[in-house]
Amino acid sequence: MINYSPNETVEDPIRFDELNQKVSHEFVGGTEISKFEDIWGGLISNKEIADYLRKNIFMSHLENCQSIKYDANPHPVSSSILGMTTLSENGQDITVYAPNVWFNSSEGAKQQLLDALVHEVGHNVHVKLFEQDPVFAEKWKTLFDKSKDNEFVSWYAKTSEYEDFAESFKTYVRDPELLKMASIEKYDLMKQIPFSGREYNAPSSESNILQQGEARLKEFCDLNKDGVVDWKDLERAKQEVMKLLPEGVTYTLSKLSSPNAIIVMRYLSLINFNKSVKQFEEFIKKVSHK
Amino acid sequence: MKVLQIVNPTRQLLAQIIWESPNEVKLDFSGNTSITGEVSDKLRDLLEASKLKGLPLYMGRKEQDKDGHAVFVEEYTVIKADREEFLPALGDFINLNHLLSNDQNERLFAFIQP
Repeated sequence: MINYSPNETVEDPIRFDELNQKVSHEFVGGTEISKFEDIWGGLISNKEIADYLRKNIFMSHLENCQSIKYDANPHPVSSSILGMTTLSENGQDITVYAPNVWFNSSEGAKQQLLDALVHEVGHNVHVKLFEQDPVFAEKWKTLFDKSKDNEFVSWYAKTSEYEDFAESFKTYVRDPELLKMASIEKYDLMKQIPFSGREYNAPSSESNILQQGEARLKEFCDLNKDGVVDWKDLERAKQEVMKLLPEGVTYTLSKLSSPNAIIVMRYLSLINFNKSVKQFEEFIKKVSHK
Repeated sequence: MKVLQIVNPTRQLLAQIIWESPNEVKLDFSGNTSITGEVSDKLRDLLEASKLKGLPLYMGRKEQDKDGHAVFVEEYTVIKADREEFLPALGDFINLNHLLSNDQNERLFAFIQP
């Protein structure tokens, strides 16, 4: 028989590491964000998920949502499951599974994961909203019933008013242009009630971000064939770049030379501005020493 | 027959993709003079690749877990050109990936014709 003394300590560092991993989490309001550190290739962290939600989602959208977690194991019933929301008497739990392989880039996979996440948050919102605001529920149902095939943001949205809401919620945040195109009435209702007038202008695809970044770049400089920069207005360019920096970055671009500033601008045009501050600072350090 | 309409941000029709049983899919630019070679090549390439590899179609269901809790489940299935859902899957793919017309840098949208 083994007797454990209350003063006994665990000295095995591996076990400490395991413990640290297990307790790694973030909180957004009362919602615990966890296990995203388990995702392949360091695609996204708990902190990045938490930062994304803080920046893009209202705290009320997460009311009654106890947890959002990543599950690295495929769902036991089907490996093609991307996400799920479980409704229990204690509140909602959201689980996100691995992105599928249709995206060649990690950025594409990350965007798909965020799409799935915001869709699930949409379910969290619909559960409360449809129960507490019957007028809104009726309006949404009426819109769903009268929508033609070309007035849904996706094929999936057509399957029920709940999925239409969750898909439209996701699209309102992630790709507002598409929701406006599909149904301006759904866009207006989303804007009016769940988002209290807040509108988004956040393109979510690499191509769109790249296009915007390149267009912005042309306002400030010309690039000749050898990639040499001819600045039209370097000071204004720096000011614009400063506006784009993720929240919390303190680095000042005045320390950068012109070629480095342009690298930063290009980099900014490629990321979706949700990269962690640490990653961004590391990048700046790297280009500063070139 | 099912039709996927490719439109620009002002809903101007640029092209149609037509699906017919059992697995015929074709691009139609009839009468549209505003479409450029680059856009048509891009759509043709996408269509050929999708016919070859299939496309993910996002779907889901509401079910109950073993404790009786309601669960919304989101998943995908791979659709090939022998299914009529091939066109909606292609439409979702085009909308999700923000395809651009190279000449105008306009975004292309895809919607099923009602």
